[in-house]
Amino acid sequence: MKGQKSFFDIVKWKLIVCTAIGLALWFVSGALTFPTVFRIMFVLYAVLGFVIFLLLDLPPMPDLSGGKAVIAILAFYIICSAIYVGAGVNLPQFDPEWEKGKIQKIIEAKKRSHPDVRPQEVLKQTEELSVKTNELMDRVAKLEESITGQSTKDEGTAARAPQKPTGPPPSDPVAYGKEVYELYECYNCHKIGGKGSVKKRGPMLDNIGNLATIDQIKKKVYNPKYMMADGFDKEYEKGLMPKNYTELISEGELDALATYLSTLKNASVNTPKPIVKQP
Amino acid sequence: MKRGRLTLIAFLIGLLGVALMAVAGHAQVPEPESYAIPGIENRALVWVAAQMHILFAAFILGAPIFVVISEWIGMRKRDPRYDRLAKEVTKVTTILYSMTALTGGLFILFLVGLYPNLTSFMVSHFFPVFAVIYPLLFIAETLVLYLYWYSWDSLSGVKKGRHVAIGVLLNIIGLTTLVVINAPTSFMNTPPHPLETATLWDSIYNYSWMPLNLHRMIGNVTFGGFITGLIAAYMYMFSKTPEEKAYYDWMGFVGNLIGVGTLLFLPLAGYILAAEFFEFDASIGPYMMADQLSMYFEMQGAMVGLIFTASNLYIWQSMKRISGIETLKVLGIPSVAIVKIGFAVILLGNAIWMTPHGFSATQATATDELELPSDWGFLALMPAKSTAAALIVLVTIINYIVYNRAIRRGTIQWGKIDFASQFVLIFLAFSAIWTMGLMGAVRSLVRKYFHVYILFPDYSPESYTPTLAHASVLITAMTLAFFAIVSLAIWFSLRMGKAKGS
Repeated sequence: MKGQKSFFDIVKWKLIVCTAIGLALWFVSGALTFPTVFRIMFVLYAVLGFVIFLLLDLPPMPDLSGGKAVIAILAFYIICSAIYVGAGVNLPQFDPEWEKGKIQKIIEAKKRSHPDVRPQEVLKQTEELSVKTNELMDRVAKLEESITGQSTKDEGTAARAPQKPTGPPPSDPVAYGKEVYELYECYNCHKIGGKGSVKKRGPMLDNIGNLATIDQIKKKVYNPKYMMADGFDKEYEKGLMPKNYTELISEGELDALATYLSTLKNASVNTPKPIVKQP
Repeated sequence: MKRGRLTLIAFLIGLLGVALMAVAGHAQVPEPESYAIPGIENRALVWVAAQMHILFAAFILGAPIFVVISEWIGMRKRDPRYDRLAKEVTKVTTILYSMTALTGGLFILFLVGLYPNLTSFMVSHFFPVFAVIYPLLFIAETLVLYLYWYSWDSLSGVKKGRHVAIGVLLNIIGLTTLVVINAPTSFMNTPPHPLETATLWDSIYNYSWMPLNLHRMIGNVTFGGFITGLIAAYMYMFSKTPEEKAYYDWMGFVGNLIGVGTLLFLPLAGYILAAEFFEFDASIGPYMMADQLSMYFEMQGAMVGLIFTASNLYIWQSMKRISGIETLKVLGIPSVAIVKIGFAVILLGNAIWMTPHGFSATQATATDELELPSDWGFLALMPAKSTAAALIVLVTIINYIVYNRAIRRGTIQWGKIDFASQFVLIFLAFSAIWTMGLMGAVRSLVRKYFHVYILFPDYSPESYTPTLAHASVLITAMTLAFFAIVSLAIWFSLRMGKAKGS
């Protein structure tokens, strides 16, 4: 057609420019020490650019009607579906088996203490019953004291001391503590041995064993405002460390976690010094 | 005496045991066992039913917002195209309304059968909402929607204002329904704490209720706009006369304008919702952005980038049908050059928007080989993402300004748009629905292995985070199913109706 560019003319310069940009991105990002996966992504941006600029300059598409239009629409849906499924399948996948095992461990621990599926309600009613039992025990103690003249206060108190839920004692508390660290995904904000969050959410913990006691670590987990890592004022003020570990992590798990963290004594890593804020 | 004391202690322990059993029994006996359908995961069934219900509900709640505005503009401008657009979209809405009810019923049935304990907990906690307020609103919505539809012709001319008023009432009821049902939905993500002392209002007005209301309200209009574009695209493709083509070309343009116009606010609304999750529990932030759901967000980044790119491509195609566009200059620069520079900026914005901090689906396996170099880590941080989003939004606005300048100088040749633009409209609707499905899954999955975050654990075998691959397949299947139903609804209501009429 007169005045209309051929497909080759439309493609030619775009292909040259986008290839040049793609190559430049590949080599420059390599020089800037970007990992290969990012370099591939940058080149794909150049490819996307080529496609978009090609679409901008393509000659108008001829009109379709009837059966041809229906087939074109169906084919278009298939292409869109294939692209989206393909992208979803090819991006890195989180392994559900790993999480299944993790959840199973957490839930089994909770189920052992509260077999009912409504743990909040059972817990609440158990507490109410415990209070009533304690009241009755007090009455019994007083009644006995009035009859025998002997105080049973100490014995009674010991008998009704709250029983902390404890699971079977782990054979290796350090290994169990490491498992707890993984289970509750502490690595999302902290780094140990170079593995974990790349963002500055929480401090690296490689040397925490030299800087905090087991008791201090336990207090920090249950009460994030108790200590602040030096240089993490902003994160501390924002309250980035979750407050709900009292509900999620049992005391047995906390003991193990703190024991594990107390063994981390790699002084070559710059773990910030903890500062006690709430004595 | 000691013997008596021991007897009393034994009695008390027994009493405690019986009471505990009663408590456990109360929790277990009246509640039926959950069912399982062989070969299909319970979660997948509820997921599909809920997502399909939300897609239909989003359309029937979002579309009337711009339908009534369109009707009002038509009345004020005396332009029949606006009234026709409003009427045709409402016609499709009435058909899809029954699908909303059907999928809603299925959703409830699946919930009761597959997750009886959760359903019982939610219903008892939100009893006035589920038993009184929501059903009443649903009945009112049904009555007013059909009143609005069936009175279209009788309330015309001088009575048109009354019809618009019914449309406004429909929207008030619709928005109230949305806000009411968002309460239990958001409660599952961010329940008040401690629940024992929380009032019903505390449960309704939870952390993420208002952000969810805002996000869904804007999202529904965006979705409605793109579906209007889809309706127009179908009708354009099968139009026989130039007048029909001109009208559906115009309708597609308006649909895209509504979709894009509201889409501009969605990144901000989404950010507010995510920020509230983060404020509620800081561990949700890394879970979404750095851990199990990080690749979901990578996919979302790609989808949002593609939607904005396609919207601007459609504006470009719309410009090309304006006479004299080739010679138009804005601030001394050829308009064509401005648009092309704009696309380069959109590409750059997309590139920043889509660049993740790392290509690992969990921080547990994160290594330096998969992460951005530390000097370039800022590309994955919020300031960079916000700048990228602002750039994309700015270019979209500039393109509309250029379009506006162009139509002042030249004439729009309605019906002469590049046929490929209809595929862009279809792509926009498809991608918008796909993204809705993806982000809906994310909103549910941030509860981790809880039905109600922290309060109500999910003991089912499917409480783990599904892979992005699994979610992509399911979301694509749902999108295709939704498209099949909507396509049939458009065909029956508009094409067949037209054939009958003619």
